[in-house]
Amino acid sequence: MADEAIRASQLTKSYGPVLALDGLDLEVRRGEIFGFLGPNGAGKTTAIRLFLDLLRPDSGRVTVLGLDPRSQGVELRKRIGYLPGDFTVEGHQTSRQLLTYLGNLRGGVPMGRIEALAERLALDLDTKIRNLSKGNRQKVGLIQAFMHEPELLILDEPTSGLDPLMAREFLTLSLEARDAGQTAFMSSHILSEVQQVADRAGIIRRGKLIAVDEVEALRAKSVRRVQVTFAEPIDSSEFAAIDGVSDLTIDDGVLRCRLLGEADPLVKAVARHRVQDFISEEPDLEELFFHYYTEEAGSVS
Amino acid sequence: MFRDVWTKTLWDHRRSLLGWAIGLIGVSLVYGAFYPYMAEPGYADLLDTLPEGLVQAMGWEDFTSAEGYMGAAVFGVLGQVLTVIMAVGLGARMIAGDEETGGLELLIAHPVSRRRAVAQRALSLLLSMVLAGLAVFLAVFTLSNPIDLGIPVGNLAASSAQMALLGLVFGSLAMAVGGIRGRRGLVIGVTAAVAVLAYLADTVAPLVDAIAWIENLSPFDWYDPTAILREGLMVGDALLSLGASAFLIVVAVVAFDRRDIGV
Repeated sequence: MADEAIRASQLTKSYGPVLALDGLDLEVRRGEIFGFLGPNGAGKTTAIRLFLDLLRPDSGRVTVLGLDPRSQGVELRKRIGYLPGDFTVEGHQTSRQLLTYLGNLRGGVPMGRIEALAERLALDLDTKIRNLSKGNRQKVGLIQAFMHEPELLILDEPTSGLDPLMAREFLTLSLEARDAGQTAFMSSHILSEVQQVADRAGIIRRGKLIAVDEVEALRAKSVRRVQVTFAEPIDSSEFAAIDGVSDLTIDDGVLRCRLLGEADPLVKAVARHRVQDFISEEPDLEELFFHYYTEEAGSVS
Repeated sequence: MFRDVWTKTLWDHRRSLLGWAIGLIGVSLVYGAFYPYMAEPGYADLLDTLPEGLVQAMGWEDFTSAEGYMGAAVFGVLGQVLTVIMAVGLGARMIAGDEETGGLELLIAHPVSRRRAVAQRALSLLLSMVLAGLAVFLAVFTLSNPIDLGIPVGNLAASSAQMALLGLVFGSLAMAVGGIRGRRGLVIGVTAAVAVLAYLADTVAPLVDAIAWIENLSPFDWYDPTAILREGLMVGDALLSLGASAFLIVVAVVAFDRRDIGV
């Protein structure tokens, strides 16, 4: 048995003149949750579609669960649960009918398992799919990916359209799957979402994998914008020297800065004053890319 | 219904299939019901005043006999056009249409080989055309006695079946084009263009000696309703239609197996 759930080497794929994947190297270990991070159009979906043999690479090699997606596709896809990035199905059917059918294509999935998942995600199985909201359709997609307890989950932007509560439930489902020994590969353009569940993450940009790192290390390298509103006048000298703080401005009792890595030193310093508001923005992927780029450039020179 | 790709495909198309069946039955009943008026004298004289070429092209040479009228009206232009449109619409949705909406990607991501998926979709198309043929046959058979048609039941069935086969050829062509390229608009455009050319080859080419042979290549030439209503199933023509359809499905299967999906 191969050690890797997914192993890609030098995968290249172009659509006409557009180079979507430019020599992607990737290893996903068995039993981990792997976050596949990148902005829209970076090549995430192209890579995923290559893993499932929906696309054929121009060059390079990929094995999934030790199998060749092209020649051993049917055997491979039995063991995969896949959520497409754009989950759309015929609307004149209920979720129960669709999920029964998709389960039958896999040799049958117990209805109890489908119902349990639907209950956790708060989905009514007997509503016609065309009458479901975007978020509820996404739940149908998640259930069909999880319902047969596959060895490998390949999920393209799984939380898209889900409200925060359901996104959390999905993350819990993923963690349970990992604890049961399943592997999950999920793409996202939201760093914090990947940070919540993934063990490791790969960062893809313009068809190339820029970095693969433990999620903790990503956190240390991620930059977020912070804005603090104080109830009293404050002095910038107090904050300028704090680890990770840069681009500091203080204007009318409002502190704005960029914060690299752990928030603790800044939070402790801020806590010495009366704080009216504290806004910490989602870490910016572009900043993270920049960090890895400069690191790479530094190590080369 | 939810066990196999082909049953699920038929079930997904249930509304459209029901609509087509009702439409075909309605058109067959209405046109068939006019036969008794055509059999009256006077219409033959009217037809004599029309240009011979037009009469021949439209298949109106023998409008006053039961076989001639039914072959030109119910089983003729209108029935053929409806059957072909139905088949092309279905054939275009089997691969290209379903691919554009994303449904096919989900199916292919399951443990179903692409070849099997297309083959099962082709089976759905075939059964849909059987339904179309059955609808026309039942309508005409029901009318047969009340309008005193006097055409053997077997010949009515044969003509219905061969009209369904005509549809199957173009439905299969739509699947073949879809197998090569998953764009529904492109599939319908190409298939419709081929159907129009094939129709012209069958109706206009025979009028020009130099290109008369082209007629033999047209699927419309493999279906001669008036002759079938007189003499029964044209086995050679039926096999030709079936063979062409089978070939086109093989093209669909092979082409679809080789290309990227959903790009």
